[in-house]
Amino acid sequence: MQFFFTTYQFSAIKKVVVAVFITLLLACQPAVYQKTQDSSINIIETTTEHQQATVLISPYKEKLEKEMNEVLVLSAEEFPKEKGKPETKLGNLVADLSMEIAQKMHDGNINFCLLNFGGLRTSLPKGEITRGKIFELMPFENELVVVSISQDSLNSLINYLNRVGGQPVSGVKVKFSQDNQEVKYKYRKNDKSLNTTYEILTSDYLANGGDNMTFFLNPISYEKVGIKLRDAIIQYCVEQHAQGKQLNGKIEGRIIYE
Amino acid sequence: MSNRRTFIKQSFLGGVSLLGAAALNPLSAAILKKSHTKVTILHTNDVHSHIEPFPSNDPKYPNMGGAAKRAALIDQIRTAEKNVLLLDAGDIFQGTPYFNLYGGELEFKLMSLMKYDAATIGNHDFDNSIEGLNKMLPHANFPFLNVNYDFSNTILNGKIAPYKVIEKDNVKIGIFGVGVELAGLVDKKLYAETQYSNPIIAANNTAEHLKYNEKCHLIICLSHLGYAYKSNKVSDNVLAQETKNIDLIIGGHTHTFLDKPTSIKNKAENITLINQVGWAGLYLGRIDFYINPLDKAFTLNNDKIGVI
Repeated sequence: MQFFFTTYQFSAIKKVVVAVFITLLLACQPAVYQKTQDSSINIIETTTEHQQATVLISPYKEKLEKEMNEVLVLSAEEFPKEKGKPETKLGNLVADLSMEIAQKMHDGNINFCLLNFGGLRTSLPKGEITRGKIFELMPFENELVVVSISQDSLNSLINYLNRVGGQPVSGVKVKFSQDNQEVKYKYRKNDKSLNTTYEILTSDYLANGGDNMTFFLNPISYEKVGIKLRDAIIQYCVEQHAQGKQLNGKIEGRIIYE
Repeated sequence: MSNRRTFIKQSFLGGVSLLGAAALNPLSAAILKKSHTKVTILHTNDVHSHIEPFPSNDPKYPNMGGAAKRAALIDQIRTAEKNVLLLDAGDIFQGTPYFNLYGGELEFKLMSLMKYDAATIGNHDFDNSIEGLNKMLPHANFPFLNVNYDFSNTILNGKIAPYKVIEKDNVKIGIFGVGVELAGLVDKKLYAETQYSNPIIAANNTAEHLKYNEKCHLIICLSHLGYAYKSNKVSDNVLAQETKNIDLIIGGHTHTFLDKPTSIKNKAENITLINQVGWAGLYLGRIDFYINPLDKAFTLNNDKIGVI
């Protein structure tokens, strides 16, 4: 069942013909395909695997599975990926471990860590945490960096946190009330007069303005920690396991709206 | 069915119903077969390193996709069809540990095995930086096409062609690529000194060149601009409306599942088709063109094939 136009007729009504063909030929059945009646489901094709392709994939797959199935640590509880909360167990876990690892690797002070919920791509289950699961959590190649920003930029950062309803942080607590905000630091004297620059740990993606974090642009200084965020998570898991510890979650009012 | 067909034909053709009636002449099928060259376009977009099918417990796409099944499907179509073109609209990289571990090597090797004719560059293809992409190019035996990224001051200088012309029987098919604006989407350190320019201007110039200088009968744009936006950001819909001479835009970036190609009236008042098949290699797009090289008129048929 097909419509064919002879050549001379066809060029005369080309535009119309294209439209008609799209509408009508949807119901056609090319010999090798089976098509359902519902055009939104389209054509269903059952295929076998291509021998050469399977052979090509095989060694890559074996190596990958071996690596990805390795259990790095046990988790005492689930760390769900949650939306619309100012603070999550998953966000705290990743921000805290980033802080812990970066403090060991970075020479200068780090005041606090700021990441983004959007960059944490999946939940962590209770029980065995595999390397593959960490790849799912953090598929990107983002690196940890320490950015030094001014008081003005810091104010923009706090306003941003208020506006977006929170992001994962470590080493800082912010309480937003009607017309005030209270900021407390764990690794910095809570006295504005002492220093007017702030050293913040984040990912290179965010430091370059990702997720609208424009306050990181044009920083006073920008230094790489020397580790990818994913590798930091993996390293932390391995270290916890070596110390006989499991992953534990906490919620402690790091970002509060009153 | 035939009643419905008649109704549609009349409502579409209106004043030219005489020609429409002639179209039902069974003899014309044979004439078309003799006078037209059939070209089968197969296409993917945003495969995102989905080498393996989705797991059987996946809530949305259980067992769907997978490169080995796609390769088998393509082989099957190549056996049945003489003139097949296989194209990809970018974002080949990123999305599974295969990319994190091997950097895109297996993706390119598999596409080479499947005999892709061309691909364009998506934003995620810069995810291991422009050096990472450059390092993988030797694994691809097909060209990457783009007309609106200037790579002169980068490591990719001279390695990305603007377009490719492929001849199938006596028909010439011109293929070129356009990419999305990288600033704000991709880290600057990843795309380095790649300069983005207006894809509409570049596409118009290239399509005109392909039509009048290269004498192409069919012009295909591989686009990683995205299907459509609420804002006035340039998309495939905008590109189709604002250009002449493009017959088909194979799109990507927005992971849009189209059941059939969208027809847009372009700037020359002709039809430009847009097609996109979601992401992850879940579907293989197929459009058959019947092209007469003498008068350049064509007809088409289209399928969206589930890789199951």
